[in-house]
Amino acid sequence: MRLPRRRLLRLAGWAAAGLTVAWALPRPALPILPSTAAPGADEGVAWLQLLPDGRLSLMAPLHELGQGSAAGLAQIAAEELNLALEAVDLRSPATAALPRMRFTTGSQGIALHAAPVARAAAALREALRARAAQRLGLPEAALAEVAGGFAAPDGRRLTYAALAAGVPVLLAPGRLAEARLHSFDPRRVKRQVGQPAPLPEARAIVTGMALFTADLRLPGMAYGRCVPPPLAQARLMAVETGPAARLPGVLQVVVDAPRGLVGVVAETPGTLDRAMAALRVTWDRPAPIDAAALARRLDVDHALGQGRLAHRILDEQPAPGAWDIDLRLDLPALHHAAQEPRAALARFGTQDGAETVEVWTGTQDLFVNHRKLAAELGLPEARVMLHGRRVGGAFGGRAQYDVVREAALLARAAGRPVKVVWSRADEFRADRARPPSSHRIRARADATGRLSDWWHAWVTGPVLLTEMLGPPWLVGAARLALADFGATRGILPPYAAPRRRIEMTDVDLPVPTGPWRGLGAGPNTLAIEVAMEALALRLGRDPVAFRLAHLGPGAARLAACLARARDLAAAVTLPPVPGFGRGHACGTYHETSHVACAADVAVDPATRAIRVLRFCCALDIGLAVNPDRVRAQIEGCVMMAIGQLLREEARIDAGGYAARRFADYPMAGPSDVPAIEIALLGDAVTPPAGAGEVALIAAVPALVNAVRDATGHAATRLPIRPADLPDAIPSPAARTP
Amino acid sequence: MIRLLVNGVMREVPEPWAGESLLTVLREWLGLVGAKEGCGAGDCGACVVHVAGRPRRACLVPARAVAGEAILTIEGLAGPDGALHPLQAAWIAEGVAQCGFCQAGHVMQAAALLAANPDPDPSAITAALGRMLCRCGTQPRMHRAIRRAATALRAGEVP
Ligand code: FES
Ligand code: FES
Repeated sequence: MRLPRRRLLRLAGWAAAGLTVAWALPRPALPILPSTAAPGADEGVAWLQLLPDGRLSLMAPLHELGQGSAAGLAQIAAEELNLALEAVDLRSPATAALPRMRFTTGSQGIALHAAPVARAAAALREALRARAAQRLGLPEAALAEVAGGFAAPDGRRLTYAALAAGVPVLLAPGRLAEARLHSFDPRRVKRQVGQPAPLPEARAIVTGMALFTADLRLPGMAYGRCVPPPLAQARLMAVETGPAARLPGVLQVVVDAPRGLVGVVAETPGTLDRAMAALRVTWDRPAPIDAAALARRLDVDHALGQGRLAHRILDEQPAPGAWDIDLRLDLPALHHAAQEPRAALARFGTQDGAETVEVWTGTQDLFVNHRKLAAELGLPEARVMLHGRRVGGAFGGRAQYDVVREAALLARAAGRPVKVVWSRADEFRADRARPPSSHRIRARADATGRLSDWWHAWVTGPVLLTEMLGPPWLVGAARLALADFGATRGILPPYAAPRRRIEMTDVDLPVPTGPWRGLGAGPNTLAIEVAMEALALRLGRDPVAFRLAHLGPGAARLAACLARARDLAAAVTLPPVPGFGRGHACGTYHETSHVACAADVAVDPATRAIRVLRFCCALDIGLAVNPDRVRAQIEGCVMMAIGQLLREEARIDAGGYAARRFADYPMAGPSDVPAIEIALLGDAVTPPAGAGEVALIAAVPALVNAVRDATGHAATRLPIRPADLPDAIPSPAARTP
Repeated sequence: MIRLLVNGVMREVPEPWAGESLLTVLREWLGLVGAKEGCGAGDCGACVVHVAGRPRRACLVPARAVAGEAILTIEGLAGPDGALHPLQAAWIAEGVAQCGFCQAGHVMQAAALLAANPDPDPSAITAALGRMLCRCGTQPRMHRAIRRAATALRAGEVP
């Protein structure tokens, strides 16, 4: 895009801010985009290293967030090389040791990296086999693979340690393409892939030895934190530093006006807290948020009342006339609320007389933060090194990591290593939460009872077209040109319907929003599945059979999941008394991960409190590299879904997000645990797809549908509060669709 | 200066660290980083350690207030020979941990429960974990691990 320079400046708001200040900053001319590039098929060679003792070092090109993907890649490498899992050293990624790697998002860790890891490890195995053959004077084909090495027909053995000694193994590119892969070979009896191996860090975690960013200390280190601006665009007006600076133990109060950065560096965390409380910072605060105006902006019916929505994603011209169902569903903003507050530790040094900086941090995108920091500091990228650490939960909220910049700027100002750990209040206040959305779905069946017309209109805050992509003018232009591709995820129903209209408007919000576990697929699948349930009930059809009748041959795997979840659930009969209900839902994530859930709930007729009793989930992600970790992800999704059904709601008040502590944002807890049954339907030959988010998309609608089955309540918003439910819980026989 | 008795060892804590919370002293001065700071406000339980045998949220306890009392952290839960406490073993066997951030606090909270009640039923487990948070949703497995550990303990495995 080319704009005359002056106009560009005006659009970007620099003209008002004062050009000299703005342009004095070493800001890059082009936005630094998230690291989206998928790895090449041969890239795996950069991640593996055979150690002299015959062990394998694997620097997995992904961040460990609790999903276990790095461990899954270790299983694949071990399978190819006939190693025990303990013989694989799993290392956290670092910018200086890896080619630029993709960000860890979208449940793509295993899906994108399994094949390159397998290819590289298999090629390494074959290169070692060739070397062994040479040593033994035998043809390669005569050698058998044994644990950690090769065996000759006469019983002689060569271990990797013996083969690796001294001479580096060179992988010819041709080797990569020809090596036979064990991991995806259905005839092979696998020792690693498909096995429920424990996490390599499991022991370290339960003995207190697993190190997260905030657990690191450096000699001479001090503690720092910055004052978060009330909004990304807010300008710093005044700072009263005196009372904070005078506290004993405060090393420095840092005010960097052009950057809008105010922070404190102190000797101890407690001193830091007191100094932060003593700082008085004035921002040119934007006007208080007007709740009524915000609600109107997010109201899908208000938007539809003004004509068509901003983006028509699909329009097959639904026929005019009355609708069989016409429902509204409003969903709140949701916080990530990861348990670990974000943290970074920065240390400056010199190398050949030039300034360098190292930062330790746990993020979902090490490389974008690397490049952003280099630009921010005006250093060449080679002199900026980021070391990835284990992440204490991410759920989509940890790609942009402002804390890296803060730690580096404070460390540079203080002239010593500085560790920055965000406060819980800042975690909530500055969370790029899941945006609220408002859905209107209309559907109609033809005379034969088949879905004929479908109209899904919705209004949402931005998911991916945010400041993550660049300055506001660029994001604004992008939003005019395309629908937010994070918000539209999962918007196409899997059900056959001849005439569909799908349209959306993405509105600017006065609070930060961004990707959240499953992105748009959560809200969109929820709206779709609640509507399908309503339509089936309206037509007097069994909701599961109705769905199955509309899943064509292209959705066979999804249909199998749905049938299986139904059968699992049906093994238990619900008591025929008021208050018990069962709901189903299904969905496909990223086209390759299929899931169906069935939920049983009980609603107390007196208090109308909802309890989730039992959850059945059938999942098909193809090959499950580590079925136990896949199950763990499903269980986590079930707990999050219960939180969404009953409690989770990021409230917005006049100043932005209202929550300051965990107590302000109730989630699911130990008293909510249902019985959970899981069936993994994937076969061993379909390449592994993502597992981290998929169950959530069907779990929430299954719960909402179960509450409807129990009470007759057709939800128009989440969470469902007891007061939303009818005064009298109908008896099962009296339930009318 | 204060003295803290941590995992059986008397440790000296000089000023200004002696004026910090127990959690800060453990983590930043003594380097015992198993207990985590998830909120600093008593809401999450990631910081639970035992003081005189009772589970306490170390973020809310001034270090000075527990000078001389027996403090047990996750680092001291396994035997001196490295033999895991049955809860730690059960935690691994059930594959409880996801991100792992909350887990040390949960294990310590559960250890206090089992010390007081060797055969907790699900409601006792729920009550003991009531104000603990795990955003990854490992609660189903924590229930299982605690029951497994209780069985092992009653069968005579020494903690
Ligand atoms: S850190 Fe102590 S309760 Fe959260
Ligand atoms: S395992 Fe991640 S918060 Fe509990």
